[in-house]
Amino acid sequence: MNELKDKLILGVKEISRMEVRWDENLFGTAIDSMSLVKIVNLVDDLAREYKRSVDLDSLISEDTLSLQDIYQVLENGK
Amino acid sequence: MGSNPLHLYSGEASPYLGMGFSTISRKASVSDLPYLSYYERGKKTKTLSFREYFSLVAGLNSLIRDKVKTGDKVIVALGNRIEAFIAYGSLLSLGCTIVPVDPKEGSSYFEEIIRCTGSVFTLDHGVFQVSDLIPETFADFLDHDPASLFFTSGTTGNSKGVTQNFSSLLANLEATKRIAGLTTGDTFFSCLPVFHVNAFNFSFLLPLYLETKIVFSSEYPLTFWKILNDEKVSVASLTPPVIRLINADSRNHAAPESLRFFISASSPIYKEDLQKMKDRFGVRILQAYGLSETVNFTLFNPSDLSDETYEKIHYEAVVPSAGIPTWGNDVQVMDENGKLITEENREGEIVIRGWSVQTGYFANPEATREAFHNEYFHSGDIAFYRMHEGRKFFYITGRKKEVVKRKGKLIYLSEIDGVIKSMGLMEACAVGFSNSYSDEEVGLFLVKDSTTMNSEEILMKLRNTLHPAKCPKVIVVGESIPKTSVGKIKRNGLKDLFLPYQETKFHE
Repeated sequence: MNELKDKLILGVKEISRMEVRWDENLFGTAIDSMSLVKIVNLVDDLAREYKRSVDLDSLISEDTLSLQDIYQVLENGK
Repeated sequence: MGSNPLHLYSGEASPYLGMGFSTISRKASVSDLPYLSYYERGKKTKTLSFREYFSLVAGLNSLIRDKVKTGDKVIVALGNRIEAFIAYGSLLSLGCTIVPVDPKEGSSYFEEIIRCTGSVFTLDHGVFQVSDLIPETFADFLDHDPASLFFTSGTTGNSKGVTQNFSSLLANLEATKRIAGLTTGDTFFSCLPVFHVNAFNFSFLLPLYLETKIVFSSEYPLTFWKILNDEKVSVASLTPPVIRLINADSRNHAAPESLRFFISASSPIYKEDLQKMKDRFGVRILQAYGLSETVNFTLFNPSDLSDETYEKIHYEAVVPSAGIPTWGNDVQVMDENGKLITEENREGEIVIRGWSVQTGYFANPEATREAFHNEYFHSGDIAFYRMHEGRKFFYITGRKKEVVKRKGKLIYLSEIDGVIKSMGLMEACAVGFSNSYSDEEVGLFLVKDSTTMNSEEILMKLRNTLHPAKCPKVIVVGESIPKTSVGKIKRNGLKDLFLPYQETKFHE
């Protein structure tokens, strides 16, 4: 597992205080609004740290948002 | 509601008496201006002009006309779906009384509301979806009172129903327009529960009254700032919990040039939240105060304040000001002997009379007698006032029922909450609990892992800030703070957690 992936998984676990499956839709879980905001902050921080160009508003406007979706966008940009 | 002093303002009866929904719908139903931009999870899913909206209302009227009759009380359990907007317009134009209910309430709550109101029909997502409706030309202009029947959120136990007449709603819409300086050119934003009195008036009725566009999101959108920028929003109606979400978003955002201010209501805002919003976005928050019993906004911080006064009213007193009385409302502070308080800074109960005050609680004469007497509606909220720029600004310090009586002395839990928040403990609250030695004591409920400070450090800090009598004596840690859907703390739900401390003798 690479470093970016690790940071994403651990960060989301720490914020949400729950185990989130790789392909699970975060919007469909019991994660509260404040934790979702903090997860978006985390993704923004990771994008900056790894110098990735990410359209976060598009990402979070999708019907589903999983760790897999976030990672793919962080890895490949946009 | 004619000559009863409870409903007079400056000795005058309301100019809106006898008016109904047709006052609004007759004009708005033929307007091609934009009414509603509806968002779900950050995506715009529907836009409607006023004419298109009323065409859908007419479509629903055809669908339910044989199921309801004038005067029926109809439960609407559609949450923040777009269908709720259409259902409200439909029921008002058919002469029914709307009973908005949170669809997340349990079956026993629904059974209780049905039993109490005698409602025979519930509009929920099983009855219709917007895609089912066939638009028709709107032509229903039937007026009927009461327009709505709101059951209070029940933060202190049993819910009470408040009937609202349309003339009171109209008076409050005009009052909101005046104090906030709102115009047809504004664009509103809201994501608050439209089945509560605040959003029902601000998000549903006010745009119809002013022919103003409302951008409505079914929940707090993570793309909040993008929506405000895309839609050129000028005024957003929020609550303190939503403001905290906005402040917690650490990404780079800029407020749109169109944005004039945020309105915050439903629960008290803390100075820290106001300051963060101002420092980061340069946006003013105008706090407002209202109750179902007085339709909506009774107090409101006006939009025309100088910078100096804005600073004073928010930061000089122990709590930020809840505003000045809105047009049509006579607001006073009353002492425990029923005498109006005429000195600044002296606390008493907020009492209200005027054009937006209702006649009482639905089928509950005992509760009506308790709250509506001495020519005023008795709010149960404790406040004082101060004069600024020749106007009377009210400061709400607590609820009568959220008072702890410790060794004969009254302690307001909201004051302790303010200190707790100023220490950065955003997920904590003060709780009163029964104690054999002090009658009642103050405890602190803290959400697990919400701070890096340990209990001893927290108590030490509190002891350095608060009077020893007011200082929480014990901390209980738990999963979450129970709240209503508009963010009011349900303290009664936490009391039992302090039962193990009932026989503990605490030292000041």
